[in-house]
Amino acid sequence: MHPVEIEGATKRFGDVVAVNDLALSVPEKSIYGFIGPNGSGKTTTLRMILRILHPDAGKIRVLGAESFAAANDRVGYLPEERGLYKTMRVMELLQFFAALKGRRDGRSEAKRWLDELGLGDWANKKVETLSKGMSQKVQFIAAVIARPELLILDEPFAGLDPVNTDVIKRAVLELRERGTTILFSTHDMELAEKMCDSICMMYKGRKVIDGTLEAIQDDFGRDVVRLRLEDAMGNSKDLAQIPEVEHVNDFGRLQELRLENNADTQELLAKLMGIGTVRHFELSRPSLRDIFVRIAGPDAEEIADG
Amino acid sequence: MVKAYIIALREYRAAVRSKAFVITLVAMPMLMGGAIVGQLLLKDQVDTADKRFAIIDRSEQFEKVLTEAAEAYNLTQIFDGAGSEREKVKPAFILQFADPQQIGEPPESTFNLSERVRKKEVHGFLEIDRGVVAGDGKAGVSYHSQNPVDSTFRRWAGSVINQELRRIRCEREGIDISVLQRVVLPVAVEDLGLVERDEASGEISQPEDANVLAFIFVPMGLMMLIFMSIMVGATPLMQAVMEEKQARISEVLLGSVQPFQLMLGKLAGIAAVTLTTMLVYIAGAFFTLKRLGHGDLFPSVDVVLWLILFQTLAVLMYGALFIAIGAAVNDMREAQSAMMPVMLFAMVPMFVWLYVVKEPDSTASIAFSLFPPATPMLMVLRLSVPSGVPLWQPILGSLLVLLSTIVCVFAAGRIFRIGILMQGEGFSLIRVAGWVFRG
Repeated sequence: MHPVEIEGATKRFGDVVAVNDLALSVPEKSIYGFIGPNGSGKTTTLRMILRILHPDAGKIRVLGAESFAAANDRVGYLPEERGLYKTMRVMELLQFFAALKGRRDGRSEAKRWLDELGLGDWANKKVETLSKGMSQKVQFIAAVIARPELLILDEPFAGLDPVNTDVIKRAVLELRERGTTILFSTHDMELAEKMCDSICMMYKGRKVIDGTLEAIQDDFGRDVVRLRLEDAMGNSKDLAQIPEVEHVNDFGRLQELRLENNADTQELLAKLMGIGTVRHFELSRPSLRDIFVRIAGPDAEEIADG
Repeated sequence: MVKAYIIALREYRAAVRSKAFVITLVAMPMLMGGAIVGQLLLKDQVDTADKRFAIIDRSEQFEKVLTEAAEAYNLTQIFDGAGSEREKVKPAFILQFADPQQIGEPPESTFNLSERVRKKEVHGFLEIDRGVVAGDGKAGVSYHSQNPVDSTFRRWAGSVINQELRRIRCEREGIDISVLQRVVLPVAVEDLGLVERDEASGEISQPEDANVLAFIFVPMGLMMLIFMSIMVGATPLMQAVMEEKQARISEVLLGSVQPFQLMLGKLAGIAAVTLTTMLVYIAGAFFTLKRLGHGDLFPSVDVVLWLILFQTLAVLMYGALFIAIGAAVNDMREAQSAMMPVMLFAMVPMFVWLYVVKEPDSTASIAFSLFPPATPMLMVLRLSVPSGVPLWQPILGSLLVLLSTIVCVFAAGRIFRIGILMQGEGFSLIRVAGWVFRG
């Protein structure tokens, strides 16, 4: 069974088509990344999966049920925009969220999570006394406290510092180990690439790619060279003039070259050595970002970096 | 519905535990009582400095009586208590008679005296026309001052002058004044309530003095109680929804509950909060009245039950509207303009209550009290007037309010569902109406 199956879902807001004829299915017990730039329809899709919004057309089946009647107690949700009742105490708040999902054992589960995320001492403090990072972790616990089968995270790492990002990342991976299906959206394609088993890429309300990361990358071939060329500062124009190179993405210390079809990599290496000292030469698969830019066109380059 | 209950429970706890709730609970009666207490406290705080009045008596008939009457007044009327506790509580009247020849004729004389008032040399002045005794209708007495609200001197002088006037006229006409006084002696009309027959002894009770308190202030108090419930219960609901929307708490909740459940939970929570407040006030009023020996002023059980029913319906009806507003607007400024029409409905009883209390059974009163936005307040007002109301009216009224409440709750549910996630778009009544009708 696929925990989430969407067929032909479309959602309009006035004249704007936020999601256009979307079809996808999320494999069970996997981490499914929902990626795309801001405004591509990710949040709208997540809200439709949660039945907060109803699609104008199409079908959405969540954990086997198509009914819009009840928000599903087996689904956990961490929205992108976060908010908590400021005057409530942490434990009280978490028990409230557990109760809303029909769980009576909120207290022990909350305690376990608070300890795990390093908030054990804050259970009886008011939410307003927490730092931003802490309240984001509390919000995360609120989403997972009822042991959901499907966990939906909208930009879970936005605004977190590296330490807390790591804590949440570990928690997400642990949940997957325990059999939770995790659907998360992000505009950070590098992160998605590192964490997700499967990916759906959205752009302007449409799905542009969908599948496991390997399958997607295989589709686009092994045609990227990551290169570190000494004394090559500012000579990306020279690189672009090499016939084997289709496109140069210059990161400063590192350049990423997309190759023409059937380009001879040995020939390329020889030419590069003519330009400068090659310190690093790696033949690899295209990154998600690169794939996205290829699909969405050169205009999307800026968006992808945003 | 379990989820709505969990939401309601949280709302109730959050509200009742807050300092604001306790403050409101104490402050409201103080605000209402404060006006009365303030008046009572200030009643005796009159300026007791003597007041000077200029008098021009062109008829030359009243100087003597006015002087004597003022002396008597200053001796007997301005003190309270006796012996060592004797205390001056009112200003004495000091009369200054101006020579009509010197002061001249109006309007010049009136102007000169007005100037004296403006310079604070005198408090006011009295002009008695030449032909006032003849009573030809044109001549009269006029009192000029800067403060027409304080009428003590005007009424005192009027009574002295009229008494003397009657005496002079009787003398001129050869009428015995004591005969006249007997002829025109008015009879007082007593204001009494109804009498009842005691079931046990069969005796008919003595009529009691009609109690204006029971007829006006008790009904008004009950009406204000409902109005307060709407104000202190439903209005903060709007603010809370708006804050939750701004703080993005709503979306977190919507991951677990349906918008309609969320709204119902909030409504039920606030209805419980206002019910708590109401019960505290009812109990407080009951024991206070008992203690003060006015237990009879406390409304009957059926009125109290109707009061609780109507106030709950009112909070639900107005609460739903305020929730809808909270969900549809983005900031306090928009909220205030959106609240205006709702507030206007809530204010209707304030405009008409005095009429309804005086004429509780008139067609207009019945119609007003069956107009759903005003029903809770006006029906309770009419129910608590001792003459009572036929049973079908509060029943019909409560059904109409219930119907309106259901309509409001459903409309608000639709507005809430869409509005709660809508950010940044300006408030427009037309768009919000669209949400209600298109869903």
